[in-house]
Amino acid sequence: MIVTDYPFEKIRRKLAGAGLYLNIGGFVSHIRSDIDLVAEGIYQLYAGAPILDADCFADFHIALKRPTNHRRWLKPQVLFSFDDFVPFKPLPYAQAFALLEWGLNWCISTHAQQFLIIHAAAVEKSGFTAILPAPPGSGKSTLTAGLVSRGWRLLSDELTLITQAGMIQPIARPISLKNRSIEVIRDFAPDAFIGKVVTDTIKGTVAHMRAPADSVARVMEPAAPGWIIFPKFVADAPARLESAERSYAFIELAENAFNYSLQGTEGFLRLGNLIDCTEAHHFSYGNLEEAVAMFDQLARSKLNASS
Amino acid sequence: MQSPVSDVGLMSVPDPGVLLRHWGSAYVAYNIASGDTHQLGVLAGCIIEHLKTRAMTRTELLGKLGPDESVNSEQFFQMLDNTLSDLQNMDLITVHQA
Repeated sequence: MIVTDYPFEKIRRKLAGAGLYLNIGGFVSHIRSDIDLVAEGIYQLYAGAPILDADCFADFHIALKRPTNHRRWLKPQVLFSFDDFVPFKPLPYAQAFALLEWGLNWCISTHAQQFLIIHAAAVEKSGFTAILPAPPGSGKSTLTAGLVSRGWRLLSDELTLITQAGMIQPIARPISLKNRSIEVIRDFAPDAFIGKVVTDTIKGTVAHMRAPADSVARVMEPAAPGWIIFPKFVADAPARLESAERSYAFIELAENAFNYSLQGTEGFLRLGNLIDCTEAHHFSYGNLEEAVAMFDQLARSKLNASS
Repeated sequence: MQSPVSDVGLMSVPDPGVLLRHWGSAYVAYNIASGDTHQLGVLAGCIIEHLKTRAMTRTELLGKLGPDESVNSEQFFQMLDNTLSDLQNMDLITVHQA
């Protein structure tokens, strides 16, 4: 059963009661919350996620609730907790769903140590994955949203998980769009579902785009790495792809990894193996159509070369 | 030409070792003891490769780097000593006092 097999009211009641056991990108999250914004966000943005039995094992036990102090009467807030531990300060109430998303990122990046976890998006086509590490503001999420709206499979918008076998483990979750990119994606992919727009967050204005149904359905299918691409949005610039040194790619990925140091020798070996089997590129773009066309070309070339 | 590095004796990689990967002429080294990762140029990478096999003096290292003219110039000696000094600062080589 998936989320939308149930009426919204039932999902809301489950969340407010014993909690909802949701398979989110291969991780089972037990989520409790009586906040309607959380229930609405889950219902709309995790529409295709499988719901599991209440007695199953959960990787993360999460709650989102209103703090009980006097501030709730002045300026309502929301608090995220994991196993009753509160890792962040409360945020404004309107940011409840965004806080769930950021909290899930925190849960995965601090607990899923079986993976080498890189702060990067990952999209797949024709069996090969493009890993897109980039700092905030580089257009990574916009590019990811654009690509998955045109047939690329979403593996992740935020956390690339590298398995011991060197494959990319999908965690198809909503894509976090910020500021101008929300309108860019509305224009580029009018059929994409984009949830509530939340203003004045620490990341500016934020809205989440639902992951494509096919990506959610194929979440247990790991994909082979193909490219490491460092994207950069440059207004009005033509799409341009240039080779990058593999040693540079190694260092950049190590610096963008959450647990490279923690993994020690294993992290070095795993990252080295990843670099061995990928091409590294710098990619700048100013137009999403051109960017997608160039990625499609890259995928065709790889497919031809491998067949 | 002599330098502080060249005077001190036997050089080796620190225990328990250094892992090395290279792509083309660029190297990445991982110091197992410290957990630090470094991007290295071709000369630094070659030095580590040789020192991973056994401890060597500067003269032995020079012999391994090649018998040709290019490693027999004052300019190269200077570059070698600078690189050895950098590697020592990065804790990628240990110098054993003679």
